[in-house]
Amino acid sequence: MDVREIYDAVLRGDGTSVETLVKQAVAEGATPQQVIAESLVPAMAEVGARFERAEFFVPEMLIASRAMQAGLGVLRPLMVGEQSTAVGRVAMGTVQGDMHDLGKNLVCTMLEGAGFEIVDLGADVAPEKFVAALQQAKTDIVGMSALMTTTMPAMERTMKALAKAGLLDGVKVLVGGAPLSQEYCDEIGANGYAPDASAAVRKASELVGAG
Amino acid sequence: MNSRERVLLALDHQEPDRVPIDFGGLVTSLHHEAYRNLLLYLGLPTDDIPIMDTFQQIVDPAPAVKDMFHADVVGFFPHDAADFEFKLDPETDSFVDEWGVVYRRPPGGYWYDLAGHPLQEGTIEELKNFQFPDAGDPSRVKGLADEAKRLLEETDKAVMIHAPIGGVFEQSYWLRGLEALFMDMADNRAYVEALAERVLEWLLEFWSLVLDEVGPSVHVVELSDDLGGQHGPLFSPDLYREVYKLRHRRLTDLIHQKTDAKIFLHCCGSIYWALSDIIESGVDIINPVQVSARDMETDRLKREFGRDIVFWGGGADPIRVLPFGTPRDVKEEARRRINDLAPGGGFVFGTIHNIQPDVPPDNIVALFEAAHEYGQYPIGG
Repeated sequence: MDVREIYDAVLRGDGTSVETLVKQAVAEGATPQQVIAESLVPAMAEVGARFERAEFFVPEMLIASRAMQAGLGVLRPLMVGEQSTAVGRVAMGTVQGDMHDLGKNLVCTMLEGAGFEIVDLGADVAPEKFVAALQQAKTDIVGMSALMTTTMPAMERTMKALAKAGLLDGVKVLVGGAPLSQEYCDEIGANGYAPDASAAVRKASELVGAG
Repeated sequence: MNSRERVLLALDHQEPDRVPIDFGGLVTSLHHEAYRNLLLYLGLPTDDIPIMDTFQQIVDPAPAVKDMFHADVVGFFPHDAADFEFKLDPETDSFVDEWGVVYRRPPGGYWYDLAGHPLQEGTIEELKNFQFPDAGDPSRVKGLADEAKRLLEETDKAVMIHAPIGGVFEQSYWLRGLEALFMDMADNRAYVEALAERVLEWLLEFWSLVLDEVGPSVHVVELSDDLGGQHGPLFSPDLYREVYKLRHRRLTDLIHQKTDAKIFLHCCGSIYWALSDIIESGVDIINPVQVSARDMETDRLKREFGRDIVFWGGGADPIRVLPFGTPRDVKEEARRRINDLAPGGGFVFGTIHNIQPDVPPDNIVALFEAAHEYGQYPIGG
């Protein structure tokens, strides 16, 4: 497997090459876990680092994410039924009343690129839907996103719904989105705030003790 | 000193009697629910709430309310082309604009979101075949010169013409979709340039038509192009400089040729990094001075750019203070921004974008009371 080539193609956002190279790697005997751990995860970590150094912006991050997804698209069918090696499971959604999901989608992909298993609940997610997702499967992190001050209160309502259903034990809550702040995160009793997708990966890793 | 003299002095970087105030414009008004709450709080009738802009669901506030808040600016719009028919589909709560962009309001939402974009493929071929609306359609300016003249002669306010569409970047993503255009920026630069060029050509023809009619009667021409997110550039500053800045300059050159009016650019977010470029691109006034975004400290902005650009907005942090603070917090915040931005002129007070339904009416009243009270020159005197 040419680890470096896959890594470079992800950074260039070249999904077609990633797909070809990953297929080639698998044909040559690499396991999906190997491909993920040795090329995709390091590439996405570098994407985050470049974003933090202001060498990458959202456009570059989006095409790198798309390229990584092309690689995962090859690998996923090969991993069905295998024991999960994810560093943690994240249920993520944009909160009720808010349709904006570009940021949330980016956070999902960056987390996936860091080895998390993602349950993407979509946009305009009602508190009950977050509750149902947590009841369905053991989840390490709940992620909530909001773009507007007028939809931020839905985060608090979701927190209350989770607490009422007795689901907050053993689960960490990560929040983000344009109007969010550490103060608001503290105020509603969430466990972590991240201002961007790269910071979200760091914070999520911290929250599951993998940081 | 009347409102117009006050605004013109401020735009000329001189100190008038007090800081001019803008309230009720396309980006300095309020959502109809916030307005209804305000009217109830003020004990005014709520039976007439005219929507000024469907997309944002904002109102054109009543003259009595504008006077109460000491508004110094009046605005007006070019018309839609006569052959465009606005139709709201009540079933999906959506509408389509004359470019083919679809807007939809989510159930329970406060305003409309972009929900569909005509440029689906993102190819030069598709762009070539895509029919833009007619920028030079004379129905867009029918009667407009008289309307502008009436505002000039019958009011003592500064007269502003609003932009009916966004700037080169904004209109590009309206047509293409934000995520798709972002990806194009990273892997199909030629397309991004081609789209920007066609949008610019449209804007040049449109503003030429409009300003030939109203150029002598307006004091401010409003443009818009967002470049900032909460924490910095929306996309690479190099790309902004290479693709958009030069086109902004071509547009401002045309406008400055056609009118003596100042050019107002509405540009949200964290844009400290872009301000010297924005100044170089021919912009006279920057709005909304989003103080809640990174690097937007008003004292530093004034110190570094205050000689070269007028700040218009800045009136209270719209994320933490205006919706969630007390009236006292709002007043303190307004005082701080005035102290930073007003000395020497070059400042028009306004809200940072339109006031949303979560802002309590007593905070709105406190904001404009503070603008009037603390905005008297000499500042802090």
